[in-house]
Amino acid sequence: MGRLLLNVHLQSYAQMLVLIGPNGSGKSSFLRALLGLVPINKGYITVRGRQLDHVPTGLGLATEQRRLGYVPQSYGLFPHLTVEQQLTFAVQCHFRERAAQRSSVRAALEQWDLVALAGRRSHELSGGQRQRVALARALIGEPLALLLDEPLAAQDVQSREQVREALHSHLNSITLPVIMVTHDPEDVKYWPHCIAVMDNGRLHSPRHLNEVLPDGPPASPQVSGFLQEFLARARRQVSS
Amino acid sequence: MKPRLPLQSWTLHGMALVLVLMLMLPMLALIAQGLHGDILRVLLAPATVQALWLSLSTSAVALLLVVIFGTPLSYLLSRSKAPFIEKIQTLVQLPVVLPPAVAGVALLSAFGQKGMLGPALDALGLRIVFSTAAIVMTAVFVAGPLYVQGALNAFSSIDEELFLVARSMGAKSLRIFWKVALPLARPALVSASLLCAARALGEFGATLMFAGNLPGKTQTMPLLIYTAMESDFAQARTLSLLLLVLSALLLSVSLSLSRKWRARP
Amino acid sequence: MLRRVFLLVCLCLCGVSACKPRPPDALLIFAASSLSESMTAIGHAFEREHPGLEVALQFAGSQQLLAQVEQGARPDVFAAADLSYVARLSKLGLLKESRVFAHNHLVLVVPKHQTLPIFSLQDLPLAPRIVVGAKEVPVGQYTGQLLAAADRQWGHDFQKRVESQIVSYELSVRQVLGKVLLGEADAGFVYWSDVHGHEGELRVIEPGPALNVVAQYPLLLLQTSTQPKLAAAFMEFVLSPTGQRHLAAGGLVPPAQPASVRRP
Repeated sequence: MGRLLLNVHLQSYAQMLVLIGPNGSGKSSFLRALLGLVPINKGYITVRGRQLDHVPTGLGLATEQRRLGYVPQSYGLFPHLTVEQQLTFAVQCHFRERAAQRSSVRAALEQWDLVALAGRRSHELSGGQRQRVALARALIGEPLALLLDEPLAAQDVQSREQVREALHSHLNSITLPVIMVTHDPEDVKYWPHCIAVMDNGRLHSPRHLNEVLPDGPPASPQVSGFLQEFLARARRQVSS
Repeated sequence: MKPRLPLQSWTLHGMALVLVLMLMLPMLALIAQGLHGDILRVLLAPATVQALWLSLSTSAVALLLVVIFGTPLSYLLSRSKAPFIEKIQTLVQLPVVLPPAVAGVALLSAFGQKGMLGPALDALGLRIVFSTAAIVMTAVFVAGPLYVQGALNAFSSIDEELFLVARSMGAKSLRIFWKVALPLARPALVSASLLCAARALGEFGATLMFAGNLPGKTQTMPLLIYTAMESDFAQARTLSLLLLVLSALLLSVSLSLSRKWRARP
Repeated sequence: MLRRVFLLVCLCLCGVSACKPRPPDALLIFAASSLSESMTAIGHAFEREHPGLEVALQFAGSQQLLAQVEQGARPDVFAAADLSYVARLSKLGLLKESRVFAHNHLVLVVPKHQTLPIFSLQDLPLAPRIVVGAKEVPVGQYTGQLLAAADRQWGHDFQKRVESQIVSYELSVRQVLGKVLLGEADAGFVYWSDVHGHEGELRVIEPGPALNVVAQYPLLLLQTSTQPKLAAAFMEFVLSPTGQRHLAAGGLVPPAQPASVRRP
């Protein structure tokens, strides 16, 4: 497996941060570090004032205690549970009393337009519906922030645009900070304001899409190549 | 004109047929010769009923113990990322490939009068050899690893992402095991436990050495068959047929369940 | 193409070698397990007298060996632990000749460091864990005869009391011996010849002259033997002083002597 070197100095107050970079640049590792799945050995991680890791004092919260909403690449819906049961599972880790759990689930079902789908299993749902369930489930526990790992990658090409639009409207309706990781240029269409480039473990500071240029030491050849193509397609999308 | 089959195909088919014959012929012969007029007398004899009951009950108890203690073990083995985990996996699965005589000697070395735990057991007034409990212990030893193997595969094939997501929601390990891992692994666990039961049912060599041979107490079906072989081969054949049918039933249910599991979306 | 032919030839050779008839200079002897040490020694000695000859010995419970013969096995010589095998082989039409070549008798053995006060056969019901041979094997039948005789002599449900303490009916006399040596059994019935080599670990109790059960070992020559001359020579060798000496070394009493009891 080996060790990876992440060199991230990120202080962001943005609503939505889009993390881009070619495969293998460290984007997923960054998410895993935020989630507490890989220990960091220098520095600290703080999310909305809550300290998750602090190496000098030896603080390192377990994944279960970090209160981060997470939507993995294929949405991670439990195959054996219905939509309602998925939400119940998530909320049981958050609330103790049955009554509070039930009302929270009911509210989420309504808010995300899942009432009609409450009894269905994930293989009976369309791609967009699965995304809704995954988001609802990640947010029902009232996390501090939401992490999305390549949210459109699991969709087939025809429905991707539709689902992307839906994602845009969903994310607009929430007030949590969101970090979205992607390698697809079309994903930045709706969020061109805060884009950060991950370059072999090094994160460049976030900028608007039009100003994205690697600063500091020159970017590695893979990233420049990636960036050129990425930015070209992305800017075309935004301007169209 | 019918196209001729290429030589390669004949060779492959021929070689395959040899093994199929080797495997099927003894069983077919058993069925053909085992079904004779006296079959009911043999099947309803008290010795047969006793042995059958003993075999079924001890296998069931052994299976229960294996499932209760083996499921957490397989789960932990499947989730652990420690470097020595592969060695532990090998060790835990070793009894399956041990020859029955070796298993018998090993059990005696541990629990016999002169074994490692002999003095301790003696002090407690416990004599394991020659007891019905010895049959259960033997079955757990030789068949348990089969369940652990199957359960390990079942848990390992669960998408890692699901565990991750569950943890991010704040679910603790026990909750994830109970509500996510177990339900998802259930069909494979059932099929693994049936395989374990079939193996326990057929256990002979180590049982003879460790538990002895006493009708009603330690004479299981395989032991009865072996004893019968010495005096009445026809009886041995009928009893073998009974055990063959039982084992075939267990195996077919186990295989169909595992097929259903693999076909799941 | 060449590889395929090579593979096929190899397979055929394997098949052929598996079906090869026994080489002209080999003798197959089936012998009861209680004869393991003595027969092995006799086999080696016979090989030395007939250079180039290979004596193959197969040891198992007499009943198991008979079952194999019934299923088609064709040894040249069968050394059984029981006279009934004479009749059984004769019924199968396989018996050519039979001679008694050794005697053995049943003894009661207890582990050397046994704390229970068992000093004679009459004390046997004091043993909570008794191991005997199954009725399907000769040693089991002899044990049954012995217990029945003891029951007739002493009464008081001796046989029943002993049988209620039996914890296992082993399928060979060596298994009975093994359980007593391991300390799992408090007492067991084995042949006098089985005690050899284990004198330090066992205490032997003779049943007494009145109750003694003598096992007579017949050497049986089969009609179907492919080496009739060699088989007959082997039988003579076993009955010769050399052969008898090997048997005596293994604790088996030669047939010439009366079946007397030997004190350990």
